[in-house]
Amino acid sequence: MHRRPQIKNLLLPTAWVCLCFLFFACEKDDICNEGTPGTPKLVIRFYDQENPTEAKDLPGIKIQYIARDYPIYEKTTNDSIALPMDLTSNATRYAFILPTSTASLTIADTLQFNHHNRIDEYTRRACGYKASFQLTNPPVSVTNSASWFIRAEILTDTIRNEEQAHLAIYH
Amino acid sequence: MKNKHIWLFIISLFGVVLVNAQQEKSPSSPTESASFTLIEEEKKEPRVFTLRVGLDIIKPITTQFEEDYQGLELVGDLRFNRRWYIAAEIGSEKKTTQSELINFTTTGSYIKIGADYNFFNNWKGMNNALYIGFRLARSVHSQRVNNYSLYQLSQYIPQSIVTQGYATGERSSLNTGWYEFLFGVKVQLLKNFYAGISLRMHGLISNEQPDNFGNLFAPGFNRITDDNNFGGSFNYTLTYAFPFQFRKNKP
Repeated sequence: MHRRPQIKNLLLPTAWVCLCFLFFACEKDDICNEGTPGTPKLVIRFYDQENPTEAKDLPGIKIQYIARDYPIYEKTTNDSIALPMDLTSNATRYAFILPTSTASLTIADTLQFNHHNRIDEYTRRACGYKASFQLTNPPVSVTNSASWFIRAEILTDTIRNEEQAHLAIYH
Repeated sequence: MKNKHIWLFIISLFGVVLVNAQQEKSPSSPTESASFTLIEEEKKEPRVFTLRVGLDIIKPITTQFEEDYQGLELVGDLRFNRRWYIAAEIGSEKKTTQSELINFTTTGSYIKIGADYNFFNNWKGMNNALYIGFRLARSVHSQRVNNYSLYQLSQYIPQSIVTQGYATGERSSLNTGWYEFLFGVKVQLLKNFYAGISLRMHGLISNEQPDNFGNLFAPGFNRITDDNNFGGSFNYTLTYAFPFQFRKNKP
């Protein structure tokens, strides 16, 4: 039985171990999956003042954050909307602009949403922190004299997700 | 898929040990090479325990060049017999990581203890090593969240980075435990001085989660991800073998 030089016997296991390490070097990156719920928006549902159980849209309403130069909703006919809140403060103002039959004329209300008790909760490495917050009472203050807005009612006071409506606005 | 590869790797490590063990047992024949004769002679030598200590030079170099990192690792091994070494690493690290949305600093120390098996057949008087090893390791560390951005799907309202309050701040006294399989080489450069490289595969055993944060980095283990219990590292060591040796003649 002939015994080969030692180094040849070592080549194969060495190469194999090196290959294994190369494989482990390709570590999977964490990705925050699309559709992972983030910091919730405030979900608002519009109701008819005369018939409070009936959802009623504000036809063609334009909604714009006051510090932004473009609207988040334009001419929406949904009776349910979701607005992101400015969580660095305790109040977020949006302008709600309703068209009238005259094209140049609109009626606008600026609504201030009051919230507090923001809590940032860790989710996972790739997604980081998401916040939850609570609506204060009253949840909405109108900064001008209200035109279409009549009243608001809290449906869910702690906002953790967007699964149900948090606020009802009657008009 | 991943598990399959991991097991293949572990089995291959044992395979290396077995192959070599069998070779030692195989009967010597008259046609054997000269090197083998030399090994046989070495076997008859008295038992020598050699203590070798040194440091990982990658960590001090990285400390110099990377602003976000400070680290030091001391390494040591005790030669038990021709094949087996008892080995350990002790280190300390401070690292600031910017993950996807969170910036955090990990500070702490670790210890790794285990054994190395040298499967290189040295010529007489040489003490080089081609080895595989196993370690059990543990770290004690703290995590500080420096700043983060909230995870928001809508970018309609510009968000600012949270630098204080909320979830920022220190989480201390965290532990992480893991095992390591390693593969390495040690070569004698000068008398009693050795250079070595080792590649390591880490597997988590325990990972204590901090309050309202994740244990995303552990000193000695490196990056920890959510979906994967494995990690890797390497070190490049310079060691000195102490010349005083404890000799024990076999009866």
